[in-house]
Amino acid sequence: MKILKYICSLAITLIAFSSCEDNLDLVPITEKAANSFYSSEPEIESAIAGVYAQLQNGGLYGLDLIGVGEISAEDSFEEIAANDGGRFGQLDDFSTNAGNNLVGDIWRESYEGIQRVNVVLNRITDIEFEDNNLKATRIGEMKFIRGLLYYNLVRLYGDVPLVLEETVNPSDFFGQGRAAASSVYSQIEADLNDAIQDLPTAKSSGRPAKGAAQALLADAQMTQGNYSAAVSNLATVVNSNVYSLAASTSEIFGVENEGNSEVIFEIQFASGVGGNTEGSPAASQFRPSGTTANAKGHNLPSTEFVGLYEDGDTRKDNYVGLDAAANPFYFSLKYEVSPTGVNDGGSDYYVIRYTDVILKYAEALNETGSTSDAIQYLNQVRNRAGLANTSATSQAEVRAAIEMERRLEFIGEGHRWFDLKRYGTAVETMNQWFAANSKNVVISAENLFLPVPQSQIDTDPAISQNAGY
Amino acid sequence: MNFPVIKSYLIGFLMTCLCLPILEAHNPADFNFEKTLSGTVTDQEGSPLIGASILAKETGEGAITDVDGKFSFSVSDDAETLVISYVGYEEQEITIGNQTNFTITLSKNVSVLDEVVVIGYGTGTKEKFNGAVSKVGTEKLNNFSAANFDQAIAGTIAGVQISGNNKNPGDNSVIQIRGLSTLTAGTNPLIVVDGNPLSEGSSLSSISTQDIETIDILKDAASAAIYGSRASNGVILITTKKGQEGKLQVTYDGYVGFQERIDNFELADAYETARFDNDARNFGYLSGGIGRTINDDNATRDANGGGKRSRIQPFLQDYLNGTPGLTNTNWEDAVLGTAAQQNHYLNLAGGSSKTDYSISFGYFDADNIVVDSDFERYTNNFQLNSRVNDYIRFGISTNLAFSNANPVGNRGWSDFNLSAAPDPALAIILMHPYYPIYNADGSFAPALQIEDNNANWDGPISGNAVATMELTDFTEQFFRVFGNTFVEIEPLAGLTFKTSFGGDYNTGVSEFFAPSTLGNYRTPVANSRAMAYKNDTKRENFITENLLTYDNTFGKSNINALVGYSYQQEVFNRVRLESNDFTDDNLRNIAGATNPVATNVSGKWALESIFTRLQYDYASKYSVSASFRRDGSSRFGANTKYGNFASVSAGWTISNESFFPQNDLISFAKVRFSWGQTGNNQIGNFASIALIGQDNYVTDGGLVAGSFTSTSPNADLSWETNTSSNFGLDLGFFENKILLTAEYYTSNTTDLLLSVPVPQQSGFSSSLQNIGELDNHGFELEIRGNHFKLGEVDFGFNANISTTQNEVVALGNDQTQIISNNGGMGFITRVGEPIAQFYAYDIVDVYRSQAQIESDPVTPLPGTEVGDYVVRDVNNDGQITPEDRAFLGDYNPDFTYGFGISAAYKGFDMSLQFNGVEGRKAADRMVYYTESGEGFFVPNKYYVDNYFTDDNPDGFFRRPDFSSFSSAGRLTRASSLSVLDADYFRLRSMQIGYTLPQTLTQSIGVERLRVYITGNNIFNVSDFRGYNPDGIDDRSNSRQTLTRGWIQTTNPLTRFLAFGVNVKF
Repeated sequence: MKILKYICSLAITLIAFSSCEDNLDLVPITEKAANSFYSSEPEIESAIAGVYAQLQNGGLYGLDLIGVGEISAEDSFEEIAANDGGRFGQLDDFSTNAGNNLVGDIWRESYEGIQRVNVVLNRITDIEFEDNNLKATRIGEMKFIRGLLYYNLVRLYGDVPLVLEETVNPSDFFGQGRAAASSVYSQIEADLNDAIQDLPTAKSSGRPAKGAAQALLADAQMTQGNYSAAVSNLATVVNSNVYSLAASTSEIFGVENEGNSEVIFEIQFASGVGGNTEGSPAASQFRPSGTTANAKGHNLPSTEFVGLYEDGDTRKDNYVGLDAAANPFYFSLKYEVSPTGVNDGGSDYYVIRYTDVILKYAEALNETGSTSDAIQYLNQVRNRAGLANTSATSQAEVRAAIEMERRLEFIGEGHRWFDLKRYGTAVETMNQWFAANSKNVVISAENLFLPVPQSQIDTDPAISQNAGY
Repeated sequence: MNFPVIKSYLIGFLMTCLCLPILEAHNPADFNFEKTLSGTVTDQEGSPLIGASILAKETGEGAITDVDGKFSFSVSDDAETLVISYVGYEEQEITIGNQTNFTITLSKNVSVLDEVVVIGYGTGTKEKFNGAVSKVGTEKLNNFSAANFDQAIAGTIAGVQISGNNKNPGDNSVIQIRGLSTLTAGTNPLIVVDGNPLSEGSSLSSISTQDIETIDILKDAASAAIYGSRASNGVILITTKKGQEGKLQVTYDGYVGFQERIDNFELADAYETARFDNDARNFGYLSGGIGRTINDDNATRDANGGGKRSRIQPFLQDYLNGTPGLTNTNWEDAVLGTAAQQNHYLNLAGGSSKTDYSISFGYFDADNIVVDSDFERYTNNFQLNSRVNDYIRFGISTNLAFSNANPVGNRGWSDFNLSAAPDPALAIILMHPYYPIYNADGSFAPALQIEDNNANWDGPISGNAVATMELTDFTEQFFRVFGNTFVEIEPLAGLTFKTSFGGDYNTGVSEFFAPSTLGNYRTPVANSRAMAYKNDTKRENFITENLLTYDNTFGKSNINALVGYSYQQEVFNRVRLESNDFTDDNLRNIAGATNPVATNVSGKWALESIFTRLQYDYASKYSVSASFRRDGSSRFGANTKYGNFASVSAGWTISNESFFPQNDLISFAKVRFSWGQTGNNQIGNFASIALIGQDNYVTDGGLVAGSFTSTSPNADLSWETNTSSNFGLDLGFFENKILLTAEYYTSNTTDLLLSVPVPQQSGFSSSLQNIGELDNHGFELEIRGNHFKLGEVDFGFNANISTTQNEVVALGNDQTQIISNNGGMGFITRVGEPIAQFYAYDIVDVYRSQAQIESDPVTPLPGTEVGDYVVRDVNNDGQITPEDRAFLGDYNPDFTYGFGISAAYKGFDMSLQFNGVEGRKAADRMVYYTESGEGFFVPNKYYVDNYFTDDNPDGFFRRPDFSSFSSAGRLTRASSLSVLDADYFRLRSMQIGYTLPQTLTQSIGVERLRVYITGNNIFNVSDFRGYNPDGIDDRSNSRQTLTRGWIQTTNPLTRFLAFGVNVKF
């Protein structure tokens, strides 16, 4: 009988531990699951913040997109070509190969950003917002950002894969290949036109408004040679009276000037926030080596370039710095180095600022025959920098004057290479510059695009390589 | 007799119990008493054997020895012969004659067939078991002196490969049983300690090797299938030491010794580095622009835009002139020294006829060969087994471990930051020998190199590696208890029910602090900030199991049946605090931080299973077995929670057939076959669910919480299923003194859990899928024999050889290959080919002149300059493109082998174990950097002796270049020259001992006293130029498989020599 007692107690133990079915359906404890997320307005807002957060990354506006638009051209250079595996050094002498990490990072982080947008656009329609106008605004913001990311991709790589849906199964993309640049441009314009419809006129901090979408659309139109369409879009921005030039060139950059009247769309950064995770890596890495912690000498304005500033141009002192004792190279003052950490610069990056709109407007007016109107806008920028009106009068002279004004104004901001490509003079300008500077480099039209990352061709042979690589 | 975990002496004990009634059944009155026989039965070492049976052959009268090994009984006249038997010992027959008092010494059974092998939920013998199981006993294990048992089994077992980077004493090795059967799921075998399955990746240093009685490795799927979804990487069963009936026995074992480097890695000294530095700076300057000459001074070089890397340090000239007495710091010797290691182990064991016990205490203390790093561990093991009455037994086993370490990190250079601590063994390749460790006043010079290079030369921008170790704090403490209790009842003869409950509780605290007074990579002291982090981890795991077994014999048939139920779950939590926001260095931990950031991560998994097994054998000739297990796991998708795993096996002992010719040579012959299915569930806890990651934004200086979908969902994610067959042959020779085992196996893994690279336009770079198929096959041969007498020498030997080949049969979605990259080295896993072949440009020469580049019929890589490599045009299309990357071999060896001998002569004993690997390739980050020719790294000696330069026009390494590395130079940075032969042959372990005569030791109350010298890696024959070809990158599953053979960071191979003592009271 004693044995029976033992058996009973053991049987109870057995039963007690047998009903564990529910224990196999576990949900994550400290991570959120996607199937229960994106279901309310605050969660969608958080996903939208995630889209903006992506733009801060090093492959996008944290570092690479600025560097690629600048170092490829003649005014900025890489101090130590071999640094960081030649990440920027290869851009400088057009030896960029498909294994270059910058080439891979811009591609990957752009598509991650596009996917974040696609998720929001797919989910937001079913979400009740307290204010339906706000919901439309958010949709407009997302389309603006998707347009921006595709615009960067198509300008850098040419034909690129076009994805507009939330990914269900990543394996579905094998064999998709690259879409023609023309269809990518059509999508960019469609997204930006939608954004213009959805976005409000007034700007709020860190978000694009109608003017941002109009300015970006105009930029894309100019890149495709459609100056007349650009004129009307830029005119709307200029006449909206939402934006104006900052009073002086010392009031544009630096943390204390953030949110000034000429900011149209910015990527925000701040130092010392969230465990130093919200700063920009550009500030320290765009300093000459040895001048601050993690200074890498990327994107340094050349001495030759600094010599272009006329006497009295306030931009020379406000945009370009020099610490000759530490290192004899110039650097951009547009990115403030932070004391809190090596990659934690606090300066916002201005993707579009009103000066850019004014000078693009001048350019578009000049190209469409309104040269005298163009001169008026060009002079606004010159006068603010402490310079007299331009002496240029003919269309060709004004064209050259606007080009020079853009170089002086946007040094270090990552515009020059895209400007050269838009003018169609990139190959000629660079070859002349290399010859004049005893550099043994000659480029051709094939160098206007980056290679497609080798990792992507290795992953899916349906992704083809650009000519020349 | 089917206790899930059982020892040979327990069998003996039980046999005793079963025999007693038989013996008592004889009616003494039936016999004519003539005399009383008495005596003692001992083993060869003189220890009494308790429970040995003494039987008069003719009459059946007999007795069992008592706790002192003594017996006494009466026999009738008819008795002429005594048969003395004891499990595990050779049976002996003695003619009684006129003798009445006997001193009988039994020798250990040399027939290896009778060895008990532990299988899942039971035991068996070689004769009856049909799977492929390898066994290592305590003696062989303790021939190798290390913190962990995993290192001790290396080279002793066919089909088992042990590798790992050994960055710190106590680190886990990478254990691979029968090749790779997965591409991106975990490769850890399941480790079961006294019936407790440990969770994957849990520290193996919690068990003192000396507490282990045996390790049994289940290699074939049929044996492992009883462990279902966790078994496809093989199963390792560990049985710890138990007490034995008899008086208290106290044993002590201890050794003290030293470790030192025996690897081949050798950096250039200051004079050689100066020559290299000068060449690299000059070549970089000259090739960087037009109109430059080598005689340009630094000012001219600056004016020409050469930058800091084109400047020549003025002090180089003295080195180039060979001026003696210049600073020539040997950073290798400064960082890597001689390391002391000691181990002490005390065991108290004994028992009565009903209860046995064993208690042990262990202390292990080892310095790392890296400066300012060590590991200390205390262990305690307790076992108690008791038989309450004829029907009920219970047992308790617990293992407790506490460790305290100052480890090294794995962060390159002196680049410590909040994610990791520094790795000085790697940092030495960024330490120029021109800079001293100490200032003239004896204080550390923490940042001379950084500050000089930052300001002037842009050379290696790393802090002082020695100062970094000495001035930072990095500590790790672990406390762990695991154990098991069981109750077993046997209501009917042969039928037993056992219920057990086990638990594993593990806590760890690791802390790092770096003061602001230290230079850090690219960060001079002036910019340096104090930083600290603290990780608090806790893991709780419990398992409950219920087993019903039935064991019986009907005539010549033996049946053994088992059904069981098991539920196991684990909860894991980690809290991390970190900050680099310190106002001063006063408090050397996170408490000094102004604003620490906290993260909290928890995980959980559960596994519920039912299983059954049936074993049948007939007349010791034919045996069959079948098993089935059904597992449900929380890790898998909603649609695929449950998996079924079955196995069958059969064996035929030909030598027991009447037709088998009786001969002196072959005494045993058995063929066996097994087939089974196992699974792999090592994919992380929530891989089937798409997760939301956090990525915050900032607006007007305020943090805004941001989210994104971080992983792609897959509700169909399921088990990786491995199906394999094993053909085995066992041959016994010379009365089974020699046993030869040959195994051939094939295995096929389907539904591979594959983290596939996917096109990035999907928004993801990789996705975990069940796709693809992988084949493995291999051959293993083991031979061993013990207790041969060569005169007075007792001699034993063992040898093994194994080979395994894998082939990828299919990948996903029309995918034909996966190209993966690790540290710049490419690897390709292609359908129809083995996993992870090195995939890089094949270098055939160096371009030695511009004319050679121009006249080359093959168009070289874009931007090729003089001094760059000539690449083989693999596809013969006349130009070098990415299509010309070549297959350059893989890490999987052609074969591995091991052999050992042991010998004993009078009091002396000796054992040697050799092992080797043939036909294996590896690439090492240190070697590849130090041979890259890039001026940022200190070159190794091999590179400075062999690079192409005007002084060495036949050099086969590329020209050094510091500032203007060509694009072609970048693309060929990792190449065939970085894929090294990773073969070796080692005297893996050695032990030579002397046991003092008992007559001498007994006078001081010591039963046995042995002194010995022991050693590991006494010699190593290898061409490998890095620290250690076994140090593969184990940072993630996919790196470990898809880029297998990449050595990210490792410690140098070391030789260990120690002096030790065994004492038994």
